[in-house]
Amino acid sequence: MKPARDWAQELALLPPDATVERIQGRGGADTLRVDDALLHSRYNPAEEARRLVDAAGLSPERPVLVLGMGLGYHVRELLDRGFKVAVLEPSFGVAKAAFDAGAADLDCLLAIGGPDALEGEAFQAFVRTPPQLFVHPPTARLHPGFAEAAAAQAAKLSLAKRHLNIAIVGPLYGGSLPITDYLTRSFQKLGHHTLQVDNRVAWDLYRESTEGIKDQHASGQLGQMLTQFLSEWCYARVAEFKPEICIVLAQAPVLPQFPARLAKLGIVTAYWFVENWRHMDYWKTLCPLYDCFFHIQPGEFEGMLDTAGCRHHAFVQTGCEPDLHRPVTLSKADQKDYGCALSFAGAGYNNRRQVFKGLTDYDLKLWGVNWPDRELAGRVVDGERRFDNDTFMKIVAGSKINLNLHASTAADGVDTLADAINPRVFEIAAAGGFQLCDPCAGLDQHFDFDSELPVYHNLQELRERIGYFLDHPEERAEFAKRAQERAVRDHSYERRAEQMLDFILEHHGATILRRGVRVQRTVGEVLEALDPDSELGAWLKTLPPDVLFTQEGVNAFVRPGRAQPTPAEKVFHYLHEVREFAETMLSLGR
Amino acid sequence: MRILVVQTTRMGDVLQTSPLIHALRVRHPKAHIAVMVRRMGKTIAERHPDVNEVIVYDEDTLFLDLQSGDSDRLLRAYETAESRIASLKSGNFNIAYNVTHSIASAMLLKLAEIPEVVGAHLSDDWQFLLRGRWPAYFFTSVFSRDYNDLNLCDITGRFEASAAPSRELHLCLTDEDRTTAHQLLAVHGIGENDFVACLQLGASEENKRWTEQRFAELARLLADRFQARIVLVGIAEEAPLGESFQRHASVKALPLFGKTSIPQLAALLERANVLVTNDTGTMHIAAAAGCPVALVSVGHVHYRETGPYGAGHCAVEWRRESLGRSDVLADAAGNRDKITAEQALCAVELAVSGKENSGITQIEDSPDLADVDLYVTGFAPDGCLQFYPAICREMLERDFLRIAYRAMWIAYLGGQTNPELEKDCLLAMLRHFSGPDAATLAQWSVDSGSAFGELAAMAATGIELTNALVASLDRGGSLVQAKQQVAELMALDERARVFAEVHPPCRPLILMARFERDNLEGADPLRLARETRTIYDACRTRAMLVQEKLERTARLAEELV
Repeated sequence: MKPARDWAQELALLPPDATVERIQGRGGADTLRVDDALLHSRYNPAEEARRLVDAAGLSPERPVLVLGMGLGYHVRELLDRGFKVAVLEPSFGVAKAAFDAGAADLDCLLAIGGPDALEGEAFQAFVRTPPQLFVHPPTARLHPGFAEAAAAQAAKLSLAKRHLNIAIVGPLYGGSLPITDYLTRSFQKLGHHTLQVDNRVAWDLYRESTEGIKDQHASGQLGQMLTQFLSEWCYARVAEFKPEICIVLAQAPVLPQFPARLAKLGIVTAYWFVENWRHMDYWKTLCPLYDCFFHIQPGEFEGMLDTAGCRHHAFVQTGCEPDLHRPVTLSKADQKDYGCALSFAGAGYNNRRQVFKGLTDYDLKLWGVNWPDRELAGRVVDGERRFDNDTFMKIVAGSKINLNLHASTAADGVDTLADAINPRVFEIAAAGGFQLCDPCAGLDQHFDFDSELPVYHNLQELRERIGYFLDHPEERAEFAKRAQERAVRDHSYERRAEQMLDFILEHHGATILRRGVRVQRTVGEVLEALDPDSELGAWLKTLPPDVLFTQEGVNAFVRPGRAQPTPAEKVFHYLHEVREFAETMLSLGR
Repeated sequence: MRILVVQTTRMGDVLQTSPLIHALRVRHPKAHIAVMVRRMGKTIAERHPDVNEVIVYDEDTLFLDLQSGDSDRLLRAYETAESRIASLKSGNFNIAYNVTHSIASAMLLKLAEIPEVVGAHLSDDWQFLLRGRWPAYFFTSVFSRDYNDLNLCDITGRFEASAAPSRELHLCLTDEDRTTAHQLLAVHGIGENDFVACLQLGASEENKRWTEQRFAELARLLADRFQARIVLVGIAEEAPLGESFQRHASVKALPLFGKTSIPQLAALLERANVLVTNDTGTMHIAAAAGCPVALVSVGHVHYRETGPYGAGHCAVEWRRESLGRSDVLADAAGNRDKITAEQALCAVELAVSGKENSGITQIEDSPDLADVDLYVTGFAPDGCLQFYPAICREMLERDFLRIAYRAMWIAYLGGQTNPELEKDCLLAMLRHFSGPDAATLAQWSVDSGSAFGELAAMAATGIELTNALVASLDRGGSLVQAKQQVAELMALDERARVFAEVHPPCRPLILMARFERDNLEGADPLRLARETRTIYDACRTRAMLVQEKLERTARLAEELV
């Protein structure tokens, strides 16, 4: 991409494209015919361009990326209206014809070719303010798929390094709740501005309203009412935050119309179904309603999602949060509580109970709920209670071998159909624990069984491995170290968040561009574009560079009451009052 | 001399500020007068003959930028603010009259380094302050509306105390505006001699809107009574109200939503025989154009404060106990259709006849009007607008207090008393009431008078305490003693506040004293003590003045009885 005038020489040297014909229109102005298709009106192409630009509803504040140049009537119209313009034209023949017709004087950037032609410094500078797209309809018709691919590429290049605003809606309770926290932290670490809609605040009320009422009809109704209320609450919070993207976690209390309402606000929606589709079937209803649907089971499930009408789905595995899933050192007292040869922390599903009954001759400790078997009773530590992450980290640290077995209510041992890898795999690995796991389908894509994560297929093999690794502590340590490196490097929630964003931008980046991105820059980034000696620059230099340059961000540093506020502080104080006053007037309905 | 008038609220408020602008022109014939308004007030300001320059304060764009949470837009907002400040600075204004309540407007004037500000402004240590007696009244009256009898035009028009107040709103129309308006009516078959009744169905808030169904019923009555041609006026966004009106109406109306510019609307209203309206900007335009206004006052409005400025207009309102505060929304949605079309027709007849007769005519009370109050405007002998009762009814105690309060404020804020003029004012108002009997009047006077007497006594205690404090500070007394004295003053203030809670008629005075204390500038203890003494003194003066006016009002009313 480069200024249009810089193409003149190169295009002049090209031979004319036989498929491109410049013809005089009936109104006197030229038009182009390409493969029998007219790129402009034969009567009044300038008027047609005006109508097209009017209909595009473009914001005068943002630059415009034009997909398809034609003879440049619409480009000229946009320039005349004061827009900053860049053009991507797929055909050299059309571009040559446009230049022959005088397009070289267009004061805009121009790239010629496929979507990759957008790459480069010139386009990066152009998209400092995220652009809006203007598709020239005849060009899009002439090159099927071009506009979509170019829009996706433009979105990727425009939004890739940008701080986005992302809302994450979590459940009231359950396994996807900590994942909500981890995902939020991860987006923050990637520099995005997040809002976590935390429904756990309503858990006690929900439980009291449902489990606390014996009349099932009444408790069901109350549960529905509360879900309806929470869905409204989630909507209000997300709408007020005005994110570009909203990600909903499995079991979040939102109604099916939630994504459609957000879509009306131009917000791209995604759902992360961190559930086993074989155990829960509500995905069938939800998956077509969201722009993107993420899941944790590749293979068979993906075909079913297609059948269910899910437009864009992707496999995104759960992972670890290295800041929280990390090795801990046990005190002497902790060593007594948590030290053991074998441990398992989790719920007592049928297959786990059956397998672990065959390990009671080892120093085995169990944590978690649903361990009713007499054979295991003496092994359950802290009696049938859920445990938090800190406790889990101590369990991992205290165990020579951390057992893992993917849950099944049907199987009596290793579930050969298991394909939903549990987060425990990544969490134990990141915490530096040595782990023996069943070979859940797909696990080999995440860890090497021979060097990072040894697996077992049945109780007998498990016992053999336990025996071997209890006798070889150095090997245990080496396996654990390699698994930890792999987990932290490849399987953090930060990587998962990146994966989600890449997918969302690839498929819905154009939607985000259309609506416009709420640009989030840090004080440091703003300073780069400012005169450091200006009043604003001088004051911003005194602020931490990683503070977000938003009203909330900078106002925390405005101290109007102090003896000598700087001019910039005074202006920010004034702006704060402008907003306060306007919001008060709005709340009073005036 | 370069003068800046800041009015950054609504279009109607810009018109209500027009008397002040005229007063400034009279006082400073050669001055450059600039007016800063929001975009919606631009045309109104441009059509003021005394304005030299209109500065558009585009707060909406600024607000949207700020609200967006977008870093680039925040930077733009900063740059906009910076350039606005620079632009105001380069205007080299000598003085600004800030007729806006907001702290933001006060800050802007401070940042623009305008040396003198009347109205809301900031001290050197960035505290929000009010300067001037009338501005202080302007800011406090909204909190005690039951006792405010003065129109905003009269209040803000006196911000420039040394100029004769103007008795009209100022909006210039051209022949072209008039021709367009007349042609607009003509193409719809409305002739020069037709009775034209304009209806303004909208209002800034839903609770301020009389219902479309009621308007439709009134249209039928107007057609029957005056053979009126009905014209619906308003902005384009109000067109759905017109559609709702038409669904209920049995007469055809001419909808002109968004079809006229503001000057054309003014010309149309100038031609019209009456405007029936809620409390709207159109109402002020009609008042400026000399069109009789029948104000159907519903919801959260106070016609005495914001009603049509000029003689001969009429307001009809559902009888209510209290007017409340202007900054707190009342839940009045349920009252929107209580006023009937027949009752509103009375208001129309009064407004129309008011223009024809140029005087206040009272109508017979009737059971049909029992639950509404009707008022007709006229200028009182004191020069300020008055809403005179259009039905001769027995005075209520709150009327009695409001009338006395008005006399007090005119005397106090104006800085002088003309007993004869005051008597004329009081009599002019009292003549519109029947009774009550002498005993009731005497009782009111004594009851309220004693409360104001107690308040005056408290203020006197404040004067004594501050005298002691001043003396102590003057001779360099101990800090401990000064702190003790200040604590006593604070306790006295709290006692006075509670007293006013128990005796609501005293609230406006306590509120004013509190505002005055909040307006103390600087940190010199001796100066602050002296100024505090002045505030107690002023409070005592006002309390005694109210007491005096209550007695006088009672005496005159008794004479009339």
